[in-house]
Amino acid sequence: MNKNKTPFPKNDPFWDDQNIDLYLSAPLETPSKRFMQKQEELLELLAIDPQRAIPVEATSPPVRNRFSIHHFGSIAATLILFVGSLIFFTREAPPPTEQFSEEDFWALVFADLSDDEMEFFLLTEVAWY
Amino acid sequence: MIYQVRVLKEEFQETENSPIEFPSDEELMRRCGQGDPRALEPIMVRWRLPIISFLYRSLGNLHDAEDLAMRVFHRLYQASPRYEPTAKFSTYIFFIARRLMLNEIRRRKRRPMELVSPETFWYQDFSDDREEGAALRKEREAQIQKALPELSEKYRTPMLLNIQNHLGPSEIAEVMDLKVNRVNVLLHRGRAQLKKILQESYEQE
Repeated sequence: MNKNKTPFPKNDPFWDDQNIDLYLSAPLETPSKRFMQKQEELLELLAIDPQRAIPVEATSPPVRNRFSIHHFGSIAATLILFVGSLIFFTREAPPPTEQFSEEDFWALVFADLSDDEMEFFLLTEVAWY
Repeated sequence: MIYQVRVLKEEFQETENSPIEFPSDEELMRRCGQGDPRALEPIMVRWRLPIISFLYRSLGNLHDAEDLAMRVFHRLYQASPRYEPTAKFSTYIFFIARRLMLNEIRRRKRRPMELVSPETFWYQDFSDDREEGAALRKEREAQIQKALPELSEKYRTPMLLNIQNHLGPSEIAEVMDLKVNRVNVLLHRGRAQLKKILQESYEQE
């Protein structure tokens, strides 16, 4: 290893606190012509109408259209849902159906059975279980 | 971008050296709040260079910095009816500038740098105007401007407000809505971080 080789300087000696301050503290010397022109425009606009908005810069992204064809779909869907739920909840309730209980059913089944038939049926039923 | 250097220097020096010509910022803001847009002009003349310089150093693009500075002054005018001079005007205007700058950074992707010539700046302590001095200055200027956007905003803004615009830690704390101790820490770490970035760029060359 060559000990005489000059080591690469680790720090840039220029960038000490003093030079950092010197470069950072320097303000722009003068505004550009473009800025001066914009300043005049703004002051004129405000003089005409103090509430008027600043003119849109050329660099600003294009403003999105608030309403487009895509919005009509969601508006239509909302309307359909609204009207549908209105119809559903305000419809007339259907007339109550006649109640037909389980007891009525068995009564109807056993109505024409004789006592023997009834006994046979019950035995079969018991055997089944 | 070509600048008409020194074209308006007389105007600038006039406003710098004779502040009696204009009423105070607070008085001008009061007039703006009463609907007098002419009162905005002295405020713009007084503050446009600090604001553009701050935004240029932060964004690295002079075109954007100027557009944003214009929005700062417009926002200032809009806010003037609600303005109450409870704090220094400098903290108020830089508070607006920083908020708009943060919105701009969030809204846009990073735009390419648009480095300006060192002659555009007013280096008060430079006495070396020789040709080689100017070339070196250009190189250094490019180095520091490239390093600044790499520095986190939480470090960059306090440094710029302090070094470039001479705001104290308590004023910076108001602008950034932080505690004073925190600002002192950020100032210290920011300087160390900037040196590190500059050193790394130096080693890469």
